[in-house]
Amino acid sequence: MAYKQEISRKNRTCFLFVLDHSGSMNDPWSASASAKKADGVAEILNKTLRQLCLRCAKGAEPPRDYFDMGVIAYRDSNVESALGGKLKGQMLVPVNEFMRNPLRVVERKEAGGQTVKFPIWADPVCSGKTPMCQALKQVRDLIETWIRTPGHIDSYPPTVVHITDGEATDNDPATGSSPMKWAEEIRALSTKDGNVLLFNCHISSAAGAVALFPSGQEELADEWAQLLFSMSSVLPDNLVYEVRNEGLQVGPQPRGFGFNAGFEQLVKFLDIGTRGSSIGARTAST
Amino acid sequence: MFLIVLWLTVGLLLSLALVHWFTVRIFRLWVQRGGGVRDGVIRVSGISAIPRELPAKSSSDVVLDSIGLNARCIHYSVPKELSTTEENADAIEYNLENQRFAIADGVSGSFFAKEWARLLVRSFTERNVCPANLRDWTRLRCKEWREHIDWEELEKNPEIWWAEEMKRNGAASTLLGFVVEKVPLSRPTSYRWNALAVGDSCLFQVRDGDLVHAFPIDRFERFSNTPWVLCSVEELNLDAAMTQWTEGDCRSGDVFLLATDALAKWFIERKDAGGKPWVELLSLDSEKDFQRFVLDLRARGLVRDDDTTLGIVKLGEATKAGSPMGHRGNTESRTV
Repeated sequence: MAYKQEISRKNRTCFLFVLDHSGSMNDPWSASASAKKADGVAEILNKTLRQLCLRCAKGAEPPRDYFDMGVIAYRDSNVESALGGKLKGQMLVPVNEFMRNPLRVVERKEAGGQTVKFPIWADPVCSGKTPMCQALKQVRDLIETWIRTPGHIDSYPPTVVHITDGEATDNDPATGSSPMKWAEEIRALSTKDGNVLLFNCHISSAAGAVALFPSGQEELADEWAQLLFSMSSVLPDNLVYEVRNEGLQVGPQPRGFGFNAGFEQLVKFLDIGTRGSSIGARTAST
Repeated sequence: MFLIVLWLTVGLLLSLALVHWFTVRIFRLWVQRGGGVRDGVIRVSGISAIPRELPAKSSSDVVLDSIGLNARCIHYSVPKELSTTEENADAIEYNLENQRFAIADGVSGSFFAKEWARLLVRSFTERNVCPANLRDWTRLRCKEWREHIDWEELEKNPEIWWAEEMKRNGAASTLLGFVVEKVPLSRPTSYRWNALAVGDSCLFQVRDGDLVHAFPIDRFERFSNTPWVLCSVEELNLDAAMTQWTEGDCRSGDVFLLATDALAKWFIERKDAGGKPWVELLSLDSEKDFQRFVLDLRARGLVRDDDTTLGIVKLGEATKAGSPMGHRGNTESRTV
């Protein structure tokens, strides 16, 4: 049975976030929101990274290295780590090191009036074209190398979360290079616990019904949304359980895809997408 | 003049002797409190190395109005792979003076979980806990947990941006505790035990080679991926309905096994399949034996890789009237 491996120091897993930093991400998210798409995505990305990190903290002792984490971004003709500061240039970092070295930590007031420390790992720096194929190819290589690293073959499979607002500009029919081809190669990679999970989140300024973990692409009017849907992994049973636990209605064989996901939906999507199997032990019941 | 000098010298020597005796006594108690053994009372190292309160006297000085039962207690624990003994979030404690025994399993996804688990078992074995006072007892434990951690120090550390989260979300742990009591005015003398459980750490009562009671879980399908737990932040605890209580009779010769969930699941699964897992566990006679046993189960995929703890409490006749319920020589124990 797949996707059952416990996430632990003995069997650490990998979470890789892939961000579209092309120029169009500077556009507003929707007619009603003044925030840029890139700012909204960065905000939620950093929140999600923060939640992931907290799952590794125990107390006064150092956080446990339950997984390796990375954030890469693509724009123009570049695909590079989006991390800064002490982590600058690093593609995958053990979570203990990741936690201790955000780019900066800001203080924010929460709804209840409490001040919390909010670490920032990646800032949105968007411009130029969309080298999605190049990025996904690099992700394929990175994940393949990670799987082949001694000690990883028994792990819960890596999870890749790709967030984009549009189409690739580096398709090459001559070589067969396309986002679908690289997505299929990423999803073909596997550990003994199952295939690599590739989730796609399509951030679109265009009107259209919000879709989260759809089972089919019939409701998706946008052809690029349909493509990204097809590129996405089917959710494994344990994540379907989490999705239903969140109160979301999903059909059979839902895919790890979100279309026109607003801020809240994106948080849910990423939170669920990164729950994986049990981390450390079991979660407390509250 | 000579007499004055003599008097002062004798007085000084007596004072020095008194100071020496007092200092050594305190030092011994401090060392024992930090993780050693005090007749029948296993002190699992707490959040503070130096206790907040010093016990009035050790159990070896107490001649009890014995309930007529003796107890031999032993426990073993194996941390999960790649974890150290110090990282082991299971806790177990027994207090033979009070005839109280407890085991707890700190949830590793929570913060300062092992400290919380240790605090719970220590407190359970020191104080009476019943449905009527459970809420207050829990509230006081939450306060104790909060006060024992140096939050200010943590918040000062620039690398630890998550200190506030730890304080707000706190720790979680299961708890299984039981008490043995003499039935008042019973002729012939009879005994009962009662227990509380939050979560899936389990108690098994064995009599004459058979399992007579499994609590709180007696069938494998009743284990859950999200068991109930006690939280160290009061607001996160739901109402008392999540606590289970039970009771039963006991007598000399009975054996109680306490197990955290990894071992408890194996036990129940074996039992459901018609086996006698208690026989296997009671045949282990050293920590090394237990380690080998657990590592073998893990290698065969029969138990999850998790902190694994077993406590064994064997009831027997008291050796003489008025003797403490277990004393040095009858009790073997180790600190988790």
